[in-house]
Amino acid sequence: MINSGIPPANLASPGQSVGLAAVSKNFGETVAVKDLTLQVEPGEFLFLLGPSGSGKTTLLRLIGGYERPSGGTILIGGQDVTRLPVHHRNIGMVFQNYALFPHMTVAQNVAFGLKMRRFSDKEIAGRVAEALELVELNGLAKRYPNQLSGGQQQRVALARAIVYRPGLLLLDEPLANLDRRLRDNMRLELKRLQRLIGITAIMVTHDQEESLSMADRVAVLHQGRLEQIGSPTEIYTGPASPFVAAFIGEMNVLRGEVLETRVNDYRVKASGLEFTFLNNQPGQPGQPVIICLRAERVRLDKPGGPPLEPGVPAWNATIEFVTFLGAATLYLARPENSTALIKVIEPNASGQPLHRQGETVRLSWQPESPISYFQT
Amino acid sequence: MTASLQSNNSPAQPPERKQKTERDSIVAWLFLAPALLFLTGFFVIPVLWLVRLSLYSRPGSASPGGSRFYDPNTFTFNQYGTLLGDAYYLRILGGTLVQAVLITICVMVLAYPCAVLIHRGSSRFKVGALLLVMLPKLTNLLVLTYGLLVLFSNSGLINQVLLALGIIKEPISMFANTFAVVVTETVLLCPYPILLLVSLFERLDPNLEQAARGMGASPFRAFYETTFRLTFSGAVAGAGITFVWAFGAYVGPVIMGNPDNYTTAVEVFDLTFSQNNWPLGAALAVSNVLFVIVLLGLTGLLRWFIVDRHTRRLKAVPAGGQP
Repeated sequence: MINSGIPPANLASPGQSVGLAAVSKNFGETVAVKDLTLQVEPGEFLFLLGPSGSGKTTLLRLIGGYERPSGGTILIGGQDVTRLPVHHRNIGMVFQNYALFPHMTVAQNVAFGLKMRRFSDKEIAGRVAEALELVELNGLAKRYPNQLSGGQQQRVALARAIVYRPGLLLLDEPLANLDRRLRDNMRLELKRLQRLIGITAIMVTHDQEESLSMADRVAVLHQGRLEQIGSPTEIYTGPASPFVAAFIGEMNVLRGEVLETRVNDYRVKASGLEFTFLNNQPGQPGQPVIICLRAERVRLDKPGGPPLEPGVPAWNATIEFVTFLGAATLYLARPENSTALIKVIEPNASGQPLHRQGETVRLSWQPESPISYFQT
Repeated sequence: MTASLQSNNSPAQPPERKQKTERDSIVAWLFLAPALLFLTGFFVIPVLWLVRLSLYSRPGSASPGGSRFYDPNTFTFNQYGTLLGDAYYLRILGGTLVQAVLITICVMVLAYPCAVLIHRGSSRFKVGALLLVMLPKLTNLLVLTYGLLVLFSNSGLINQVLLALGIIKEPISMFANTFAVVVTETVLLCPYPILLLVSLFERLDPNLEQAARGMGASPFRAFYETTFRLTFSGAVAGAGITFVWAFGAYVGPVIMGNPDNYTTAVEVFDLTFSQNNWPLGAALAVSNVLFVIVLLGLTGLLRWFIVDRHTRRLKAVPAGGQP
């Protein structure tokens, strides 16, 4: 819905880089962010992803200057801003509840940042109009925030944050309060707007789907630490830790131990199932291992179905639970002689679930699908 | 998006629902009844009686067997004429007004920052501070006032400390004057606007100020543009309440002031119980009430014109989606 094409010259952002070096933040005894280092490129859309309490909002507030770090250095556009107060950082911030000024009209809300920068009334009027046009709210300039729908309020918050051309846009779960359909639309709009004006954006979310669909790169946070940073595909296909693996997507997590180490590979037994992994890092027999296997990488067939390639592990299993998801179905299957319930997501090729509860199936996966992590 | 927003015109309510609303309103009146009866018996009727009392004339020899305090067979506006015609009463009214404005200004200048401080504090600080604010209200009024009297007297703590430090050569007279009255009434009245303002601040979205900061406003500017502007109307209401209390001040002027500080309330007491002139006392009391009502009405009108403009405009424009 956001106007496509060339951005109005007055709104193009001088996208700035952001650098964090060993940034920490303690609240009393609690460690919110611990020794965190990362680099954001100009014009990049970075997501901070993590469960609640992972420190992602604190990190955003540190970058914005709403909190002072307990240690480390923060650079915006190459300039050390660690001790610079919020109002001198030239950032745009969108809050989860939008924090629109209830006593000001839409136009006055958008004009606020320009007014603080002492633009002339004439210039303010022109730029406000441009910003409102960019987010398609030109007819609503004289409305008050409580006369707008959630989606419209969201766009006012966005226009207000970019109208004075900041180099960096910070977004604190801005889509969390919208209903599902509107949220999906806004994802697209937000992403296009960010590309259009070329602003560097950092967005906090706990919604892994949101981060995978919108981000250039995702930084996964856990207990105040950076678990992994990378493109959505990197994060999805090569999770660096069991935490990242389990947090993103539907994942089977099995605990087991190394049975034996051979020349080229090693064998692991977990919940009565045996796995073989290539020996790129040596494991000692008896060493505990966490095995992660994506639910959509598990294959279900009728018993004695099409022949499998040699070396593909397969088990007979019983379907114990069926959950229809629309485009796909989630099954819980118990392999013979195993204590594990394996989650399987299978697309509904014929429009409805292919297997029924109680049915016996053949369970298999490509040998390279499971990922193993040694526990130390 | 537009269509989904405008479809809230629900059809007429089914009759069952209507019945329920009627029953609900009966129940509501039943709940209100004790308070209404109480107010009628102990407020409305006495006030009406006060108004009637102000329209009698003084007891004279012309009506033997009448009351000692008023002449029951009369109906006259003479008492109001006396009040308006006598510079003495107009001077008291003017003095009371000036003193009340002074007290209101002192109270608000203290209360607003104090409320901001309490609001910004940790929750533990908040509880402690609010308790401290309420403390004067939990203390006996006379004990508190006499305590201040002791503090302010020529041999009181303040003068002794100043003398001992050599800052002054002889005691400053700090009581029996306007200063003492204003300080005393300020101490007595501060808790009301503080409580009101703290509850107003608590309702504000704390992100508003942060949003303003993010857009380039200095801490002071951010506070002014959001918190202050959003609570100004409430602060005016708090000042109104404070003014009413200050206008009716009695204990402060009598104990801490001199006769120049005596308010209309003191004069009403004097007329009624010392001079036994009930009709004139009642007339002064009624004028007092009318005067305050008119003043508050004017400030209310002013507020409506200046402060609440945007709220009125809100109601004028229909809410909804894009045009």
